[in-house]
Amino acid sequence: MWKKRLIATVTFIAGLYFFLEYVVPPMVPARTRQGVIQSVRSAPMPKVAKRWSDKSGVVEVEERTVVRQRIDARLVTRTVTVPNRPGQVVRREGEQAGLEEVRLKDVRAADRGFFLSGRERRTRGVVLEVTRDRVDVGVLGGVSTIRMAYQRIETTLSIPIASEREVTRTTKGDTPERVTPDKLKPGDTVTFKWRPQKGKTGTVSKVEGGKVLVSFFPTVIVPYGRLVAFRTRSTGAVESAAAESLEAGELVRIGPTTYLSRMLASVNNFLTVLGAMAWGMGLFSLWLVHSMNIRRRRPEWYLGVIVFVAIGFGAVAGYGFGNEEVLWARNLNDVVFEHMLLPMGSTVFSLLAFYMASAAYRSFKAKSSEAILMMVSALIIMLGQIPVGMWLTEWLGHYKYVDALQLPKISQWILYGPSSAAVKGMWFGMMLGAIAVGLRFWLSLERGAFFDREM
Amino acid sequence: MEHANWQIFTLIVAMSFLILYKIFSARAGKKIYIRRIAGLNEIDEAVGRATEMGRPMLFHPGVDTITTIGTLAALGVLGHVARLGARMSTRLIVITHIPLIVPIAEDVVKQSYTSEGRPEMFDAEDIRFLAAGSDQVALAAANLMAKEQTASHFFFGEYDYTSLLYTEPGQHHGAIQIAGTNQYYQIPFFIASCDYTVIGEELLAASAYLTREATMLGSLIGQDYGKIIILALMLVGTLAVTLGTQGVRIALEKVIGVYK
Repeated sequence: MWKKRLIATVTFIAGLYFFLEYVVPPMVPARTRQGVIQSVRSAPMPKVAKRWSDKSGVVEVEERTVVRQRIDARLVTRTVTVPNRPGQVVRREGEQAGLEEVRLKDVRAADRGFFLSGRERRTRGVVLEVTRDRVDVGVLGGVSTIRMAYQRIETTLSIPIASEREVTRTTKGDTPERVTPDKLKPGDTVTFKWRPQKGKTGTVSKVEGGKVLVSFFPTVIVPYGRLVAFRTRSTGAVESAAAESLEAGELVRIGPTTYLSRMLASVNNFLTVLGAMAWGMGLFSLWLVHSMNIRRRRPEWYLGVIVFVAIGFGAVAGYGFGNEEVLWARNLNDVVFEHMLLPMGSTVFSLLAFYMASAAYRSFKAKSSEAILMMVSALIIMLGQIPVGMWLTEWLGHYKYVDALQLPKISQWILYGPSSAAVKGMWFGMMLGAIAVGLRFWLSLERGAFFDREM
Repeated sequence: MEHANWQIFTLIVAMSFLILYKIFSARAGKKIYIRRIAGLNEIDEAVGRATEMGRPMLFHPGVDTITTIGTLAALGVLGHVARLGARMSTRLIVITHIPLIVPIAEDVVKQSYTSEGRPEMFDAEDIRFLAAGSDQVALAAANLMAKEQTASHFFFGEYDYTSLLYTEPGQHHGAIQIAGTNQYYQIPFFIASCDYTVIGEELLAASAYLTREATMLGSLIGQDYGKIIILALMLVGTLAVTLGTQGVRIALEKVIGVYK
């Protein structure tokens, strides 16, 4: 029973983490602002420094804040919707000074200038979004200033030359080698295998006073302040953005942070470890099946031997991945992965064409009224996408009332009308289903596979 | 967070509340009716057919990882198929190319066999990690179908371009095939190559439909109420745009937000 409760608690905490980190911050209505950044101004803030020694007392560490700035991002937050009428002309701020006249349909997101609103009055603003039937303009009157801050920390390690603690010198062009501090010279790139900078790479900045100074710069960019920013990229994807990387013209959403993003690396590490363990399980399953085949001399048992040989061969070849120093390993890697695996993958992929043909042949048999409907619409869409379809019905374009019957137009109507409506209907159902499944798992209400048994 | 605004927040909270309310009222003993889903009904027939022929069944829980909703729903279906298999003493082979699925599928199948009083039916060899790539697994699955002479195939979960690579060999092989995915691009391929197809949200409702457990059925009814709300909002929006002025439309956009 306690195991069941433990699983339920861990599931709930993990779900809560996700909810607080990704869902709440951009959705707090009173505190979150969305808009296009009009300007970013940064001002320096007081710098701080910390100094301490590591456990052995030999290595001294100095942490110095080299940049600490406050960022004031002016956001355009009030929007006006302008109908995207064909032929309508607006004035836009050109790349050169002054305004240029452009048609509304040529306006793109982040353009600035004068735009006609629905009531035919002039509105100056920044274009937020352009769709087929409307243009959303952020009005410059509704500006709010968001204050954020960030700091960049430089860490310097001071190692006595006489120390016997080895570091790995990875200076470009040289083979990585383990050396003692007395062999280091300014400009060397070194990697540490001991705390406090374990696994990090720094540069030797000075050798003076019997000590080697290694700098880690830029090392850590710490989000500072109580706000988190999400940036909308030109592709429409949303990503979290560091305060110092915000630029004018970007569409952003800035809201309060839950500070959980600092745990993101640990959460990801946990998932990586879990994934690595699962790989072991996968390989164990593979070994179990094929070793049994070989031991019991089942039909085609020799294929099991080939699998084991291929795994060993692949592991050796994998050593050459990105390895510029060991030539034979790199060549073997190229042979196995690029000259064998890739063409074989393409061969499998090409099978799809034949499978599609046979599946299409089966589904296009006019067995019922639905099958006939599907066959006819598929035929129209296929013809509408290829030159033959255009050629067949091109003549209809010369007549006023029947030009809509051209195959490409009917094809587009089917795709963007009935088909799109059906897909959107499915999406509504699927998203609601996703909410329900998510809630059931989060609150451990799911029954069936895991949660209805006593553990 | 493309549509993260207070309107969506309100809507999600309202939907979640509805679903939870219906779950708890179903648990309290309220009677619930849900419509028939043909594809899921036929699972019994497919298991029965494999039993009659004395051949094993094949289950593939999609090509995506355990963190996706479709895969989680597929594991619910796997539990049901394994239970039926145990009841009828029919062997079930599960194949995957995702290592993380292996221990979970093992657990689901083992638990289902145990709940039917047939723990001895479990064989770790039947939960197979075939290869690291989806297309390689599709080829291996085709080989497995021919070698093991599988009689019923179940493809549930998230699918990509490889969907046809999994189902078409089974179709040529003459097996009864039931598939379900929430990836709507792959649904036509499944319809063309499988005997029964579970479409979109039906996959997510599958474990509720199959287990007939009050909690699950309650969540299904909650979803339906959510759909009614969305439909009502769409109707209001459509009418306002068709009949109303630009001002009404803008006001609606501001209030409802989701209409964008």
